[in-house]
Amino acid sequence: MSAAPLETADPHLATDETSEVDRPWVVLVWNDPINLMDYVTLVLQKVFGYSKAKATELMLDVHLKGRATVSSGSRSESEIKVFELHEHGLWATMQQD
Amino acid sequence: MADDHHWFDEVSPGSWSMTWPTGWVSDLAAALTTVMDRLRDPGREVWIVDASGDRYDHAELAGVAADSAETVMESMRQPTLRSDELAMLGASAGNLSLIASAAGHLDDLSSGAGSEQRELVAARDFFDQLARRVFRALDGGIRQLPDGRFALDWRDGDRTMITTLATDFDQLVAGDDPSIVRLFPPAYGGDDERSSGYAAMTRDDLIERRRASAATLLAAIDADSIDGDQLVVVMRALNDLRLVLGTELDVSEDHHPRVRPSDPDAPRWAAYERLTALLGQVIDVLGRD
Repeated sequence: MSAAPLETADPHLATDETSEVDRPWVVLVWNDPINLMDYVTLVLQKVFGYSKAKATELMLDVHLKGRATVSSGSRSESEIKVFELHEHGLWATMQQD
Repeated sequence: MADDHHWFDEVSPGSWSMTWPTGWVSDLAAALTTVMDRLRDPGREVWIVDASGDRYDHAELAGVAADSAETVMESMRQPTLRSDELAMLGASAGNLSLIASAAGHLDDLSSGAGSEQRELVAARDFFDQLARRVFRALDGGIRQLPDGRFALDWRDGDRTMITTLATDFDQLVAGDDPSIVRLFPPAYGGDDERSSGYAAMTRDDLIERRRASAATLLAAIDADSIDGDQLVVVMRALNDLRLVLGTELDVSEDHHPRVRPSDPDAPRWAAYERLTALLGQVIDVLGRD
């Protein structure tokens, strides 16, 4: 799994992962009836640098199973990814694994 | 075979010239004859049940076919067509394609096609191609220029729609209208407290980015060309507008909208469909690599 590009980090996002280092955080994308399937695939490629094949597989998981885990990492890394996914209009949440 | 040059060129805003391929006029005559002859036989009924369950019987279809044929022939005689006349030509061709398909039961050719069916297949495909050519012309498109930049050749109607929606969006996105709920999901699944804390820190930033994207979209539709990064922003902004409209229209997973002119939501459904088409164009271009 590629590391988050830290230069896109927002300085005001949470940085308290040191207190919860034991378990990684995962980012989930949830199915919704409006976003186009090809759009979701393209956003996953852009935000995470995934190949088209991997992004398509994740998109199909979202579409068919209702959600997919799209990344895991520290809390602050995950918050940045959630922010980017929200900026692209995807219904993304994060939780501790 | 198929030539790839434009059949329709917008010679001045809202005015279209037509260039028919070689042999096209005689193909048109043959296709029209096939469909109209088949409908003249009242002993072999033709009917269509459309997606919303409405049934069109033989007499109605014969009337629609005659009107559509007249529209096609009349369009052929004009040196140029207005955009609404061109759209009517496309709709007429679409009607004739559907009727040819119904007349030949062409949705089920598993037992093989007889000679009449083969003629109806040719007529269906002829009118289908005409309809698709018309709508592709009206759709405009995105051209990649030799320098790598992109030109958005979108039509006046689409640009006006985008201007209205994106201008409204600038105010809407900063408020608390229920239609923007999809733009600000809770970040922490099942943890309202953390989600509120996250929203307090990020919402203003997200609002400003969305406003900036909408502003980029507004500038892009009037620009001669934009670069690839701007096209990505255009994609996000179109998606934002579509999310808001889709939320207002309560779009659901298996909802296939059928816009009727009498539906009070018809203009918003039409805008939603146009946004879907334009967003699809951007996705196709950006997903190419």
